[in-house]
Amino acid sequence: MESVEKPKVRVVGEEKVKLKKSFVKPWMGIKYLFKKPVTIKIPFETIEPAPKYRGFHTLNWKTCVGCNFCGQICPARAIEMTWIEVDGKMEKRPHPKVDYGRCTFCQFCVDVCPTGALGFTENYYLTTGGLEEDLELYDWVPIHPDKVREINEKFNDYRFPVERIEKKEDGTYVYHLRDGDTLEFKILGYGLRPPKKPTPAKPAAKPAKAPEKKETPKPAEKKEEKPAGKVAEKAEEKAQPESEKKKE
Amino acid sequence: MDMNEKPKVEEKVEEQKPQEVPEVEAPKLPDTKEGKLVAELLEKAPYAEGNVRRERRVEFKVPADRIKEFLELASEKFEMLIQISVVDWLKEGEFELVYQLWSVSESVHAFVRTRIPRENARMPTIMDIWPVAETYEREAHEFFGIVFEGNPRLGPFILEPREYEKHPLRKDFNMIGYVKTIYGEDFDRYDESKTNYVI
Ligand code: SF4
Ligand code: SF4
Repeated sequence: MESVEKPKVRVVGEEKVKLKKSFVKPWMGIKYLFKKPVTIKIPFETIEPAPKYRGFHTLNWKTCVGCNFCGQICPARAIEMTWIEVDGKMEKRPHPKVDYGRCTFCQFCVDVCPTGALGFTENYYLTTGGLEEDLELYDWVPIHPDKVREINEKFNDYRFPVERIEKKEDGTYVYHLRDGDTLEFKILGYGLRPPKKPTPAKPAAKPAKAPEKKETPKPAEKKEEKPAGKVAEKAEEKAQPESEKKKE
Repeated sequence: MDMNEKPKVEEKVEEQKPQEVPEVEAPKLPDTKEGKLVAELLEKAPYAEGNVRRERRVEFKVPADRIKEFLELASEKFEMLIQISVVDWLKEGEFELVYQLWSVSESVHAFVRTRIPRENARMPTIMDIWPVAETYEREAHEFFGIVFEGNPRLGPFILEPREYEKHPLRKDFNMIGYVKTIYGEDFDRYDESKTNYVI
């Protein structure tokens, strides 16, 4: 046991950390009675969030290529790919729809986005009532960063840039932005595969690749396993040829 | 989706090739305090395998039937039991129990690994060596269904009654399937369903 040398540690003596109890000392806390209290009177004062404070997302619909990287990395599974129709024309690629009921604001999705289409702003205020139509606000396809910036410059209160999301029967969503503008589009479907009905030939072929990707590991894995299995079988063959025959 | 459907996790397990750590037959123990510590212990317990991972991290492999004996020996040097963690190797059909020990006097962290079959997993309790093992064993019992013989409190612990005896951390527990039986097919408020996992 002596062979193992003891690690050298410094121990602070107990007499240095142990305080003497006192009847007087608690009263020294009274000195803060006459100092300016440290507080922010929120409705009257504002606080600036730090630059790059992780808030709501922005999405450039033009540069998003619908790769679903953001949906794959999201730890909360808050992103669902959405097929969108703007002005009667379906977007070629799906766009992410972020559910703030699930989102943890980790911004992994922003880091992983290969085109930089997904970004985030410092906006963090979002409060609604409990009605179903109010709660629609928590699930949106993020809007263009320039628009958000514009709204921020106008109000500068770090609120969610959309005031109300109106959902119509036929899948049309109207985003009523805070500055009075509206953004109207139709959601045709969800997921990586383009929705069935209006299948234009071209987008149907391309995004279909993505779901297939999931299946590709399986054949690859089989290939990997086969040689291994063969090796094992060969080894078995040498040892016990009968067992090999039984298998076949 | 019902509970008996094959969980997706299982596929993942099978994807991994059995990564056999190349076992060095006679691991040369370095001439450090860790090396000496391991050598000392192995001298008394020749049935175990031990090696030094890195500075202040040592590792032992012990057959399951001698684990108690070994831990009793180890407790001379490793005064503290930090955790009992369980790994479920579904493909091999084994639970790997990792007893994590900490030596207060030497500042060395030790993993003591042992493997037991998955069916009817039984282990002797080590409560008499480290009393704190009672809690860790209860946890391992509840989440993996390992029975620690001699532990008097292997009853309901953390999980709710409806989850008890389901052993949710086992690899063959179908999480999404179970959640769907509790909360219904689609537990999302919005139009889209976020219940299919793509990773
Ligand atoms: S911020 Fe994090 S949790 Fe939120 S959508 Fe992005 S990846 Fe998901
Ligand atoms: S990672 Fe970026 S480009 Fe890919 S789908 Fe998400 S937002 Fe679009």
